[in-house]
Amino acid sequence: MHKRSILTATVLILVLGLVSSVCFGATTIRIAANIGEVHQMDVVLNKVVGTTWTLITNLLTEGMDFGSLTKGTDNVFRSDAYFVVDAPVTSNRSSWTITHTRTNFQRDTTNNLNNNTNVKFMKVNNATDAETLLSSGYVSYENSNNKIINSADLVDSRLRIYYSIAAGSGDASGVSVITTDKPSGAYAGTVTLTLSP
Amino acid sequence: MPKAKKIFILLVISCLASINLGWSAELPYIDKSKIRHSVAPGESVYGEITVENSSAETRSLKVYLEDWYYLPTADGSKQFVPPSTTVLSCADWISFSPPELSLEPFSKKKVNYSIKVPQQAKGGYYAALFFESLFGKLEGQEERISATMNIAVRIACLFYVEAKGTVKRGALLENLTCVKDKEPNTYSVELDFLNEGNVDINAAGSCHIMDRQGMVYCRGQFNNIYTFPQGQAKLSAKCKGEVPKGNYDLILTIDLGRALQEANMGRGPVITKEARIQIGERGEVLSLGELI
Repeated sequence: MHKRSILTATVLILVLGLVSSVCFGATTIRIAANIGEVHQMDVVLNKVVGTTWTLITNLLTEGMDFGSLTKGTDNVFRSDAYFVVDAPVTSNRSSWTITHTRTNFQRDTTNNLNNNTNVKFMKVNNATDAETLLSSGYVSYENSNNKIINSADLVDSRLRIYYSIAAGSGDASGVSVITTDKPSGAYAGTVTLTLSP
Repeated sequence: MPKAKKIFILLVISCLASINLGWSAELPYIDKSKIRHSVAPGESVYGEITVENSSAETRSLKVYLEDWYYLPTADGSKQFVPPSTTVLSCADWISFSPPELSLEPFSKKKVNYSIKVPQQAKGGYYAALFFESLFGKLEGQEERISATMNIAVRIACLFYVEAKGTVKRGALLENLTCVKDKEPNTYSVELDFLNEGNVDINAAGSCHIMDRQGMVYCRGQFNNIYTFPQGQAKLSAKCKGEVPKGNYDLILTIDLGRALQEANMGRGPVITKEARIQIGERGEVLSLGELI
């Protein structure tokens, strides 16, 4: 009796299996998806005076304008503003690189502010906004050329770069203040951020 | 563009937007950042890159070519230099159109390119096509000391062009070292890599220590390296696992074809090397044989 029950149950399972495979197994849906590549870098520019951050909303007309530098009683030219650039990357590549390059920050071929300007490379945690200085991340504008930041340096973070005119204290190594020895005139430069795979 | 692809791209952009950045320039993006072609000498290939503006403002871009090469760090970092200034430049072979783009809000455009490979080409050649947005062309005041800085942001699309039928993909592995690490049950394995071929190589691989019966005691992964022809790199791995006193084989497997796989162009050669290794009672390396 026991053996017969087992046999009956086995036959039942086989029949049900066959029926279900006919009813349901015949419909096979193949799922396919092609995910396209996305490779993008944005920029967010803020001007900071004291502790007040002002968002520059029109980068086409407003760049990093330190304006006319103010001469102090110590005969040092300073700016009351500094600039902060955030450069978040959207990419579904496994790795990518941001390269920071610069032209001379110059008035003419002999006069520049390359060693009178600080550049600080930070990573900012996307969730907490906590900042961390990147390795060899506080340099003179002169030494900021070809600074490479890899995606591995910015896990869950974005790149933030500070640009400031030398203040006389807390400046990066090799950065000195602008004295009256520096000829007057319009000093201009361009920084380029390159995103590459 | 397929619907799924569009949804994915929108999702990625939405995720980014959720990061609290306030206002951002929302620059255009490209759909290809690496393009690898294998073209017979004397022949041409054609393609296109889509540039999309996902912002509500019109965006203008300048498109231009430069050369590039891997830096000696071999970690994939690159140096960009003016076009046609490097030995392996293919910038002169590439024509593209248009050189300037104006993208209406939420629009996209295609940049078409063609590559004509010269008859005498052998091996791999390289160039980068940049899509550059320039902001704030500022001018200061002459009568005082004024300082203004402009920002340019550019995205690179790297070209890898192989002269079909002439490519040699090979590497020399030497100077193998294996020492017991400070970390328990860990061995540091290092060796020198020389790209002996005539094309770029993106290599990585693994190592393991096994006995004569084929029992594996220790495994590790090598770092990713990126080299141009004649480029050198250091492969290093942390091999983890407890290895009892005895004689073993240290087996290295290096895949030279990762770049081909990435471009869906098949698989490249894989090098397998081994060396005899003798482990002491405290797990120290007593001797390491030649790499064969």
